[in-house]
Amino acid sequence: MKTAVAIWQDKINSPDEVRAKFSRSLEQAAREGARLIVYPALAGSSFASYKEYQDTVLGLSQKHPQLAICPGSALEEEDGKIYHTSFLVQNGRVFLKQRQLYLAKWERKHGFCRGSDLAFAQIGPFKTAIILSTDVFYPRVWRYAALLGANLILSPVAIRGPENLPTQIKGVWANVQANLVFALESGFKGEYKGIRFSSKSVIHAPLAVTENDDGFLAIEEGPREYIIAELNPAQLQEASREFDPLRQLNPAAYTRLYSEVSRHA
Amino acid sequence: MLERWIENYFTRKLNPQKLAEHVRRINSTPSKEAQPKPSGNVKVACIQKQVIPVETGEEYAERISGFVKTAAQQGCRLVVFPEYNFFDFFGLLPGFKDLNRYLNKKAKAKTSSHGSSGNSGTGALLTLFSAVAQPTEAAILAIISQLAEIYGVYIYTGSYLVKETEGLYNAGSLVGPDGELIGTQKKIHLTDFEAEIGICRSDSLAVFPLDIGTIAIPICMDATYFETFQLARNLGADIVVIPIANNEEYNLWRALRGIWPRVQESYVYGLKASLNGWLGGMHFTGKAGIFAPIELTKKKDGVVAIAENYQGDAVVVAELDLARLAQARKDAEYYGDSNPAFEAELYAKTYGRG
Repeated sequence: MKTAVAIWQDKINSPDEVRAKFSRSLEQAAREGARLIVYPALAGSSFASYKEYQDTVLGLSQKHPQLAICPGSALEEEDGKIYHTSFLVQNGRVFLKQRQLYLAKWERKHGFCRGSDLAFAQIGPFKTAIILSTDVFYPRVWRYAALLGANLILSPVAIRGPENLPTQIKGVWANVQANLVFALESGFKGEYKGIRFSSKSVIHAPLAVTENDDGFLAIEEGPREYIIAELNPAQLQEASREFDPLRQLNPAAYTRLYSEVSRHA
Repeated sequence: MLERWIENYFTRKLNPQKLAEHVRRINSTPSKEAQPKPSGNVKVACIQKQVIPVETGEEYAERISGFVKTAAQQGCRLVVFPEYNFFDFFGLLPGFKDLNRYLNKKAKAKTSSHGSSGNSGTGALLTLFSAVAQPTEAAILAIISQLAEIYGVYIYTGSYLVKETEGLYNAGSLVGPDGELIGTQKKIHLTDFEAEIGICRSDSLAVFPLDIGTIAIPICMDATYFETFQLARNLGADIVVIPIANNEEYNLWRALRGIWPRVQESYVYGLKASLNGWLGGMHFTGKAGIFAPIELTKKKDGVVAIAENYQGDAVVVAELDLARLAQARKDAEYYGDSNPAFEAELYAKTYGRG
């Protein structure tokens, strides 16, 4: 299955610019035969409301009914609470919604709330989940997804600070290797609430699946609309024959993680 | 029958008392003036050690002494040895050196034509494991205890095999500056190979609160699992020691799947000691190193210090600043949040199933 990850530019600051970016990249990705495309976290943050952003994406999705779209994320208000939320859309219909489960320091400072569960959807041959932005740094979310059978993770991210490859690797890359899944990571570049964010867009796979044994199927380079890669679940099965960390999990050792141990974190 | 013969042979060749005496003879206690003054920070050393089959226990003791002396002279208060730190003792077996040379040569030829050494030759080692476990454990503990006392340092023994009623464990111990055993940790996550040959695994992780920081000492594959480091951190660990013996050709990205991401996730210092070299047709590679959360490292890469090469001997030394580590945890953008509702569901639907 062909999948694409949008490359974001710093200059995309208004709803019109976001619409234009979506239109261009959806058009091209659909023409190239992509079945799924992911945009970065906070891509919808310039819209007046979550609804306006969602409606915009729903409208655009009807022009490309074969394409599943994860349009990044925005802040969603419900009953006076604010959530950092992403969703999946196809042909005018939202078929998965995901609230971020863990909060960054800046998000706690702004009083955001946490979601309570991780949702799954089937896209072609892939059981898919959205692991959104801050959640990529919490390996328990990845483990949960992998143990419930997910083999493709969509990660719209907005990483605070200047671009730094090690910071990015400790998130999606590390967890892809630890759970043997594919992941589509789209990195936000820009400012939001006075905070600077920067990271690259990457298509990740277990080392054994990638040509250079480095875990990167495609990585952002130059002024392009998106990166693209073909994913095949059979490659994951092949990789697991060589190295599958899930095979040697030791659940008996983990009971203390979730019971009496006081949290030092 | 063969197992009993080998065990008796090793017991005769590795007399713990004689080895301890030898260690005392070759290591004079350093004078107080000669010892570097301890600072508020903790200096530690991770050993990268090439496997060299020895003909006597004394030869092994001399090699281990050399590493500890080098580290102690630089003011280190903790010295960490690698996984399977007893492999050198296989050289005690009559004819082993010739067999080893043959297996290594065969495997190297295979590596150059196929790109991987695989696990050929491991069969020869498997038959020995049970036989050598007790004598090699006793020898290592005798040598390390003496060295810890002489140099007044904490030493992690590296791992060795522990024989118990239910079977063999891959385990390592922490010894204090008084030469006393502080504690032993058995490996919690096995490699597929260890599981296949029937090595047992432990279900619990301990931490050891010391004057140099609270330390956990899991082993090699345990660093592939975030659960190990989360357990360690929940129990208050600031320093996690990981001895490794990676039987594969070196690749930076493969190496990055272990201790490095675990340190970034859990905000601890990570100390990696590596066993290298060829043995029985297996090729062990890896760089000893000291790792910290990205924010604490000069190049913002999470590496405090690392060996230059992935083969050969090295003593990698660095200073740990536990106060800065504690502050980094408080300041961290992507660390320290919790979500009890989600975590309860996670446990019930995954680990706790059945």
